[in-house]
Amino acid sequence: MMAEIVTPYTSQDLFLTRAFDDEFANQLVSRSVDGRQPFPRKIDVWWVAIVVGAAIGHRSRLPASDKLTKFNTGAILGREPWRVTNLELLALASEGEDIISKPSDVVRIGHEYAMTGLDWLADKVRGSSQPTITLMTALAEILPPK
Amino acid sequence: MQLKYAEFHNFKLLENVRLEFSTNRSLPLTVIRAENGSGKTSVLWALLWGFYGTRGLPAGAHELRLTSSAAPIDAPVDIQVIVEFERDDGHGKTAYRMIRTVQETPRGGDRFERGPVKVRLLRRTPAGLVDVDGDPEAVVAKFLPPRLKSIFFTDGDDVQRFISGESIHGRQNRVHEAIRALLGLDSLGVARDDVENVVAKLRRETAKSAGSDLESAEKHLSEITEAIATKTTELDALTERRSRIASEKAAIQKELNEVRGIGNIDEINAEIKSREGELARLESAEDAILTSMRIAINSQDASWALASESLLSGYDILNGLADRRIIPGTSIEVLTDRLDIGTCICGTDISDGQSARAHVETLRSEQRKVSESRSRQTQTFHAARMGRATYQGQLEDRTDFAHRRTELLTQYAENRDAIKNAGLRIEVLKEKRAGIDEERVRTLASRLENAERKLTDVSESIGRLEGSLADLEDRAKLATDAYEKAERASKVNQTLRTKRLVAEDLKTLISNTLSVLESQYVERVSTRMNDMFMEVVGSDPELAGAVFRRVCLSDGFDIMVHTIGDGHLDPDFEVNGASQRALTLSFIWALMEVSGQTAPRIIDTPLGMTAGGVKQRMVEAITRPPSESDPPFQVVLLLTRSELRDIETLLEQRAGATQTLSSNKDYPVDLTHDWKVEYPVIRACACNIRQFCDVCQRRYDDEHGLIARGG
Repeated sequence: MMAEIVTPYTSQDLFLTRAFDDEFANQLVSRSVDGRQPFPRKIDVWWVAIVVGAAIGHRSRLPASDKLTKFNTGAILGREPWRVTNLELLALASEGEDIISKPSDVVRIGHEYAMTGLDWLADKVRGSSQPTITLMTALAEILPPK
Repeated sequence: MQLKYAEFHNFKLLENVRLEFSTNRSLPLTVIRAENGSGKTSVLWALLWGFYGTRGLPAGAHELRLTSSAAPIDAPVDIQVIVEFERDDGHGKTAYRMIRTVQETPRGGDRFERGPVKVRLLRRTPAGLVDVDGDPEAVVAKFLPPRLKSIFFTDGDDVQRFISGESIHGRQNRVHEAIRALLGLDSLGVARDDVENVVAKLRRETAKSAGSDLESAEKHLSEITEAIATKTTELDALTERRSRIASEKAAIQKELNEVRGIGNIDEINAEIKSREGELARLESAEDAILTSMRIAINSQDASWALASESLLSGYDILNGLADRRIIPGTSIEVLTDRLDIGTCICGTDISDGQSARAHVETLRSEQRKVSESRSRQTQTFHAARMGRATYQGQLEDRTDFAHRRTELLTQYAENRDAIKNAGLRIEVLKEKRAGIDEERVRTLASRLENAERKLTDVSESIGRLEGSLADLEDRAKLATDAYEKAERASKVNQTLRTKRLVAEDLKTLISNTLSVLESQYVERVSTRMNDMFMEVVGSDPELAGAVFRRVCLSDGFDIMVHTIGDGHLDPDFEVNGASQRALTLSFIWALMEVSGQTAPRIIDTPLGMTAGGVKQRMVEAITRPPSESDPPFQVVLLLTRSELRDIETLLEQRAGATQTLSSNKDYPVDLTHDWKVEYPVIRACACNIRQFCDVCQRRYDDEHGLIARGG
């Protein structure tokens, strides 16, 4: 079941912007378990960027391919299949019920949200020595009111 | 005698301090809370100076300046101590006020000039205060004999001298002197010496009347007796000198320990270690909180919380399809069934070769394409339904990401504060440790070495003198035999001989009386000391109390600790600190009770080295209100915060007055508030043992459960 969920996406390439990757990868991503960096992998940066973009409610156009850097393929999503489900829900909400049969469009929509999210993340964590705390604190700005 | 209040003006750092003492019979305790360096010893000295002048101060302190070491050079300072007390004169209580004043001018370093001392003793009468007739110091000496001062005004460490010291002989002498002084046996000793002189005079006269042989024998005996007296005086002087040097050495050692912080450095190091351990635990907790945050940020919960609007919107689309039964799709299965049967639902023949069959097959092919999409929608719908249900459950339970985020940030902030405080405290402690005055340490170490050398020299001289005396005593015995032999062979004046024999009998009688009284008092002191000691530690298994069978004073005036199994322990080395403190306080208390003196008992830092049950029982024993048949007494305990910890309730039950002394030298390391005074000074406030105020508040007072006075 889980493998089936991700199957349509395994061949999809996943990107971050090169500028974001160059500036923030070391600051935000670490496999260390101490939590001082908020993300263990780049797929997690990508996913949280999508969620942030969706929270803001804005999709940005993808830049030219030379300004992007591929960090993985959709196969990586198999480790957290719920992300595929949520990605599809976001796509459904954005472009209607037929989008679900077009994985490349689903991923495109994800990327467009991610572009918005990456800009927001960059703005918040730039220069921070405690990015986990900075990010955790900044999320208050985009959390829906209780 | 009971103290009512005391005022200290410019005595050391006690610039303007007034202390009230409890005179309530059923609340005999006065507590003065003060940390190290906050004036406890100054209060003790100021009271001694107030009553007896500089002669009353401990050995080695007579020549110390009385003003603050920070007082400006060449500016005269008026020092005054006022003590109001009351005593029962046999026909009711009378209040007195002792006022001692002197002007001192600091001249730099330890040098100073001191003007004439003015002493007044006033008695309160219905008409007001009037001067008491006679020399005020002599009158006060009758009320509170100076020989008793070291018993009634003492510090916790000082009382240890009864069980510790250079030699057993020294300890025995100190116990013996204390017993004689407190029980008033000194005068009997003087009478015995007087009669001894009379015996010698009569022997001389007898010999003179009986011819040259006896005269020669008497002369020889007299020379030896005089030599013994001279050597004994020398020995007494040397013994006193040794005692004084030992006291000086102890005072230097104490100051050195304070300056080096040896006593404190252990505490500081222990606290640094403890705070560093706490810091490591807090840093590890911070890592755990950050890890929890990372997990939270990357969780499905966070996605649902942040993008709930879009996710729910996507879910609603799928839910709508399900409501309309578009998903899950079943048309392919129905069409396939019909093709297999060969009859459409409407009844048309769709068997092989029929034109309608091709239409149904085309319909099934189209449905297959749509179905892939429906199947995917169905799959996503089921997965999303679970995610949505989880999210909604979290919202209801308030365990959703938004709440979790607030909770983690709060934990992080609190933990950060704790890390900051622990780090600050470690920094402060390290600064404190680094602030030890090395120059002063060198000076004191040199003085200590000097005192030790002098002590060795004096001890050697005493040893030589004791040898000479033993030799002289042997020779005196031989000379006495020779004299008696010569006397029997001579024709002596019988009247003179009879007088001498009577005087000798009288001397024997006085000596025996002194001995009997001493042994009776020793017995009573010994019994009372044992009762109190066993009450305090005897039943405490943690203190190996089970091994103590009894404590007593030996005939040789030694404090003995007997163990079960008929063994005994050296109280100086083989008894733990808490039991030593209990033992010496029991001795002092027993002496005071047996003597019947009603002077105030003022003890500085009595509970050092004690803790737990022993501390509780010791305070219980020394502050217990007198029974109706006993005279009232007054006990003043000068205690640090750590000494009074865990016994607050008992102290409150026994104390009729409580005050706190603080020194601005402790700001900002330990004291919280800046008094805005630019020179060192000690102040008193009315805070009791559970309170703090802007004058006395110390770091961690609130952590120890103290509350703001008036707050």
